[in-house]
Amino acid sequence: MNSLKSSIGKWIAVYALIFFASSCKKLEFDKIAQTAWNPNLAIPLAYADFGVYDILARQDSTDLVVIDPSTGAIALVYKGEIASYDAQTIIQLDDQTQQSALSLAELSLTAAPAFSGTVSVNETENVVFAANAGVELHQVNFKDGMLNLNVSTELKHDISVVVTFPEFTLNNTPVSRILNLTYTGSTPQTATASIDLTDVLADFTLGNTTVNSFPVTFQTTITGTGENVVGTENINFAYNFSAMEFENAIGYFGQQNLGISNDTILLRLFESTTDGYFELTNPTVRFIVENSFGFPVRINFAEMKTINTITGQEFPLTGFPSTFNINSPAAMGTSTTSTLELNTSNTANLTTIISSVPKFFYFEANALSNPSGAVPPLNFVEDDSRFTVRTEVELPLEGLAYGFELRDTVDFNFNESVDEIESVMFRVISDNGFPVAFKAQMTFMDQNYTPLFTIYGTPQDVLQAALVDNEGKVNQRTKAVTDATLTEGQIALLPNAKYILINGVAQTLEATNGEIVKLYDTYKLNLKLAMQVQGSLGF
Amino acid sequence: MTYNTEKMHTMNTRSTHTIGRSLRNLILFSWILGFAVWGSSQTNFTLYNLNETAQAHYLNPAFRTKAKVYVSFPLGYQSFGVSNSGFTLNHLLQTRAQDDSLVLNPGLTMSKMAKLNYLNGESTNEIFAFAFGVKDNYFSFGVTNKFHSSLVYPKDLFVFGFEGNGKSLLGQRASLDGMGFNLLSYVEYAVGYNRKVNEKLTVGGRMKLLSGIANVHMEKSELGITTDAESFALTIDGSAAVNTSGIKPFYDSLTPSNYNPSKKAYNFSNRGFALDLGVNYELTEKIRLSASVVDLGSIQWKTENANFKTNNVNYTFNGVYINDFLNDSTSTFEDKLTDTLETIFSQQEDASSYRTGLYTRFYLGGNYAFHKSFNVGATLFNEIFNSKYRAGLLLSANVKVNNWFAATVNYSMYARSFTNMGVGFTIKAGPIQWFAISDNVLGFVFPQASKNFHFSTGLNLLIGNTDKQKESKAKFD
Repeated sequence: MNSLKSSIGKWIAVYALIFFASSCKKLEFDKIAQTAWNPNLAIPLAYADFGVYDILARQDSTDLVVIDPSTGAIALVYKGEIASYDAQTIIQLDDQTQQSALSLAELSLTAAPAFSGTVSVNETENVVFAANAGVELHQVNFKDGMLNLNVSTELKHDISVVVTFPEFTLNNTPVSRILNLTYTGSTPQTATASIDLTDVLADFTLGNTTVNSFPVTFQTTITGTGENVVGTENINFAYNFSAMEFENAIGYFGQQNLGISNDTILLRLFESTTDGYFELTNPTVRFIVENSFGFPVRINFAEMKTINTITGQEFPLTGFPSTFNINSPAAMGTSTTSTLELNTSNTANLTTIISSVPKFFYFEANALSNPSGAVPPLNFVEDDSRFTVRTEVELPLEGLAYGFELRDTVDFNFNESVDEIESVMFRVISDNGFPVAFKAQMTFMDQNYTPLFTIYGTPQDVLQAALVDNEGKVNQRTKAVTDATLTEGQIALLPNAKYILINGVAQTLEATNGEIVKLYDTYKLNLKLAMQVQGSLGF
Repeated sequence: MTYNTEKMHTMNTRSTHTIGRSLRNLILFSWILGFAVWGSSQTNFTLYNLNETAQAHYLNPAFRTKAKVYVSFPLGYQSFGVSNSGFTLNHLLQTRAQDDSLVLNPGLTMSKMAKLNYLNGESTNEIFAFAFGVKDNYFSFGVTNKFHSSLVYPKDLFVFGFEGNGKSLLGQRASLDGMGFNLLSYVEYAVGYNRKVNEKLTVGGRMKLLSGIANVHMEKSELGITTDAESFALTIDGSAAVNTSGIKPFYDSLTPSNYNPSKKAYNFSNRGFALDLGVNYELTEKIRLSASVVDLGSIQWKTENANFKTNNVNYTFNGVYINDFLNDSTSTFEDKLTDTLETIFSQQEDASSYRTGLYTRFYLGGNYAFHKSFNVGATLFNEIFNSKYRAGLLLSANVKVNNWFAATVNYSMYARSFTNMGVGFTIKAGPIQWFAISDNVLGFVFPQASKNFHFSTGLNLLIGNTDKQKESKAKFD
């Protein structure tokens, strides 16, 4: 028992010692020093899937990516409308006033001190209708317009005139107006009348004997008032045509120069390029004319070339057909479409001039109506007739490119604190289904475009070209992972950066060895952008 | 000791050696098992070996006090414990070499963590209890409030927070599986019966009717964040289901201002049943074996329930999908991400009833008596909750001085902590018994180095002594 008591005493002593010691050892939280927290965060930033359409046609919807439905092969088509003419540029029905007169002889009157009888006569006059130069009107179907008649005379007697236009018919009935002059003691006597030309069909051939003329008949009755007849009087008629519009017209409209002078087509595929060799093996240039004018047209090409707008260097096209004949449609309400295609078989150097990194396709031409002169059939034109000339530059994406330099500047704004960032690594992961490689280099610049620092000392392979089979079609995608690490010093400069200059050089697979590749609509480019940040936060 | 032996028997040498090997084997088995899964809530190991107290039968119903009658008056039994299996403050804060400043050492902290770590809190508050013995029978009744909470935090959560996902987690799945919070609060009404079957064997049991107060039960918690080593794409996978009872009134705007949750302590609106069973066997006069299962039961939660369940999620964030913005200039990244996340992490809520098990514990004990007043013991603690098994091992030395003083000192390994020293004593002055216990007294002495903090105390009124007239030869007396 004594031993046990001794043991108990020892245990109590041990516990007392421990408890005493604990009083000297306390949690001294006030001694916690500033500590660094260094998390490393790996973050996916963005990803995208780009197809052919996304890459080639997104920036301008007027450009068209054409897919061959049977093969899926891709072609770029750059379109432009270079000329368009409406009917009013061919025939202008200008306002005009024509005149005619009936003499005393034609009125069966002679000079007399006093005239109290009654005279009735019928007379016909031919009046000229003025058309624009070279236009011979045979028939016009008016859509709108007014014909104002004006009669005046020095005769001091009562006069009644029925004016009829036998070749101006409305519903097959010649248009006619009655003009009455009642003498009231003063001269000249005048009277007016108006004719609405809407839906009036006018024949200007005087029975197929001439053009641009129309007849007018007058049934005149003169009732004497007892006043004299001097002997020099006439009855004068004025025909004032105004606001005329035609529904259609038939005739011969002459050899008019439609005036296509020159135009350009911007080939946007090359818009951001600065240098490089680009060769498309089968480009075509098409001129497509739609003609609803009832006459033939001939286009004469003077010059075609491509222009590098950066250097100003020109690359003339040679061997191309100099003329392009556009047929007339067979009847009103129809049109013709005529196409001239320039390709490697009917030009001498089309591939070459496209290859030279051009920006514009330039051509110069003029168009002439009725190139063979006044030969049957007669011309016709409707109020909605048009003559349009469109061009298409079609570039089947089949060929090679190297040293194809691309350059773009994008805005950049970073106002966050960078004090707590030790390093940043950007990662670009590409899974490329296109047979095109792309090396890139990025330069951060301040507001004055002064370079601050450059990521990648030399351009890095951001995209590696996919592999192709013997037909130039991709049979194996290629993946590339490219890291760009910003040092602490570069990070410190980020708030000053306002622009990023992206330089790139594109090259098709084995382009320098002449490998031809083709682009298909099934190609996809998958891009992922990620970031790894090493932070250093004190707390 | 609560298990009294009438007579001492002479023990031959052979049997001593045999039993000694068995005891060593038991200790070795317990040691290995203890290493297998370290991490538990507070366990009251020490109370298990302080059999002089009336409340020891809470851990093994086969234990009984020698008093004919006891009443937990005026204090009863109060126990509080907190444990953190992941790390200590000494792991988190290190003294800097050049001075005595403290700096965070997340690397060391994380190296000390297991895949899943537990921050547990537990309290047991005896409201009222009494017991009385009739010959070899002993009857008891007790009302006790019990509270358990457990915050489960995975190691990878700290790794993600301290390191980010760009170091050791790059290309790996940060596993947050099992992360969550569990809470269990109830009042138990227990009726116990203990009988000495023969000189060696004592058995006991307690039937408990439970009235649940509040519960948070993480039925399912699976969450992982995988960072792709190449693209850094973040894949979130997992699903979760959490059932709650008695929690919604605290955040529901429709809750009446005079809401009083205490009624649930006695109205059995969330009813449960549980069973404690124990056995105590004196193999020889020097060797005692004991075993018990405690809190084997469940509660059906029916009132004020709010159960949440998410869909199975498997979503990979690859960054901003540029094509969306190329085709639609009106939408923003935030809009699209919000829409996506709302779709993915949509949840369903219902108020259906559910059942939860208790923190069921198993105790295995073995004691060897060197003297009538001194024995040593080994106790293996096992706990099963939410389909997770945890264990702890305790080695104790126990002394008894007459009838007025008993004490126990132990070393234990639990909650992935190997530096736990438990102390407990009981003093009896007349009919008043006072005891104080800590499973880890070092937690109060060296809190910065401890994972476990525990303290229990109690004040009982003891009347009579069932063994007073008996001549006992047993070492366990």
